[in-house]
Amino acid sequence: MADGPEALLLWIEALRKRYGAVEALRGVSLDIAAGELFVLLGGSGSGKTTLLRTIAGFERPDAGRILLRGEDVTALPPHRRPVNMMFQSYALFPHLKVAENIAYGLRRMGLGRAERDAKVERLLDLVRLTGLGDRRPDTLSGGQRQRVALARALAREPALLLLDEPLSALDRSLREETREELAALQRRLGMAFVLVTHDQEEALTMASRIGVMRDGLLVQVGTPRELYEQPADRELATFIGGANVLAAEVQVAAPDAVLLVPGITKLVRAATEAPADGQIWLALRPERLRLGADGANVAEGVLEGISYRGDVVTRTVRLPDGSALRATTAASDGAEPRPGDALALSWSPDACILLRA
Amino acid sequence: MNRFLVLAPAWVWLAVFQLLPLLIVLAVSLGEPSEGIPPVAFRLSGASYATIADVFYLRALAQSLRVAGVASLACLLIGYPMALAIARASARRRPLLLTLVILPFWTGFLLRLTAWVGLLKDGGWLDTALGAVGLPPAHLLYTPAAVYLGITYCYLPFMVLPLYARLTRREIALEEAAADLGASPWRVFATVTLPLSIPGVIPGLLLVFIPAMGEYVIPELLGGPGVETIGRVLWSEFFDNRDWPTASALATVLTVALVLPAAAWQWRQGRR
Repeated sequence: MADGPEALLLWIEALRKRYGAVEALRGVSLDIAAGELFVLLGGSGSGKTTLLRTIAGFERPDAGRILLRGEDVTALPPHRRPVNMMFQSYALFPHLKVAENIAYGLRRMGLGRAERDAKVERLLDLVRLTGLGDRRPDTLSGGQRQRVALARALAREPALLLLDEPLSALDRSLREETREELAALQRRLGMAFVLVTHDQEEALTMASRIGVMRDGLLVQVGTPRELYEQPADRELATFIGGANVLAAEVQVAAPDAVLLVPGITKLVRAATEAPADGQIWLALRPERLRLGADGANVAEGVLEGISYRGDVVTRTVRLPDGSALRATTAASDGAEPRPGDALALSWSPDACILLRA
Repeated sequence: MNRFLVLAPAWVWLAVFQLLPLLIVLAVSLGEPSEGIPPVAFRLSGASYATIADVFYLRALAQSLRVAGVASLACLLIGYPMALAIARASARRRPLLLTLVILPFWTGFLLRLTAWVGLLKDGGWLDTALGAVGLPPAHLLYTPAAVYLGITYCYLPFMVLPLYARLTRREIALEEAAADLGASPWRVFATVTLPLSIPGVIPGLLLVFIPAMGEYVIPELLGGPGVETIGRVLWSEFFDNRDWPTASALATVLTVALVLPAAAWQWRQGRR
């Protein structure tokens, strides 16, 4: 981020963590500024949860440092760190009422009873659970439990809130609604959130910045737009937004690359220079492809499948060399080709994303 | 119907070996002592219950309550850390540790108690050990302390096993959540681990307290004449005084007094 170092809330340097033969973190460095909603995105086993648990203090790194507001917290136990975590399972105390769950962290701060009660009331209002303070967690719905967990984690007003897959236990419609609520709450509180998820849509819609983890490394950090438009490698291009990826051979590297793609008769023109000579990958976003042959780049093939989603239609076109392109267009595009028909797709040079092989 | 068949042996067993003897005891308690075999005349008399409403029997009951109470608490204090340590041990070591807990059962109960007599008696191993470091002899045998020691020793596994069963059902996320919210390890234990283990504590206490209440052998062997528990009074009414109705009345009262709290706990658990 463009902020000066005084705005840096969390500073992580070269974290390493090994469990037996598995290296969960292989040198992760990361800065997080105050007020950010930073999303750690990755598949299972990518190290994202280990990184989150290391920030919380549940895991001690083998190497590296964690600084919170300039203070080295690497060796501090969880209860001495000014961060709080919302657990994937929510981890609500079953023997305590909702209000007692929320007040748990406040009691540990030594807050007086009146102050505590007032604060719990405010938090219950904040997460729209007014009046449910006397209930037991097991009498609440999944969505309500999720909000209790959130209120409990917010109660101590941490410098940084860690959220481990906070929406994964909710069903789909509730998840989308809660996603927006959570992002709005984060903006309103101005508190920095670090959220772990495996859901790329969740990451794109919520994050101010995303860090993508794979095999214990942060492979790319950037805004959702940066990740989408300039993915660092082929896997990221397909993981985020599901790009079409074709092997390509560089004919002209600069200033604008010209590529030879097996399966496409005409040379493909890009709007950027090639990252390398020889073999590279050409990534094309499905929604940047148009139906028809009038464009700077054209691929001709046979329509193989149509997947209708209501608002959009995705068509899969098989190219002569056997590779396939998926094109997503508005459902009302009027085109009526049927599977087996010849179909041409076209795109502009600036739709070409060129990636090192 | 199938369910009934499966459970039938259990019901038959309970009826023949639990309910029937209890009913016999109840019937005897309502009779009157007589010369003959058996030394009881069956009739509906409450005389034996009037007999046991006496300070002598009440004192024995109080003695038993104290012995069972102290022993249960001692078992809890010793057994809880043991159960916790076993539950937190690596999965590889747990079977070994559990085996060690029940290892004493491999040797006969009376044999082990006799060993305690040898340990505690004047001039026994304990006194020898104390003397070796320049301490005076303890004179423990035939004191209440020896009875507490013996009962705690014998019943400890009955405390450890239910506690262990509960403590292995540990939810690490809850303890982590407490630590995350500012609780020190000790606070985590006091506010999360301990309250969540209560469903193991109560059965453990009942499993020690109930048999300890009626315990006869341990007070008899280790307690000396000063520790006159209800079990010993029962024994002497039956075999020394041959007053079966009084002994049976005592047994009936004791059974009811012990079944009530256990039933109350069961009922509470069932409602959850």
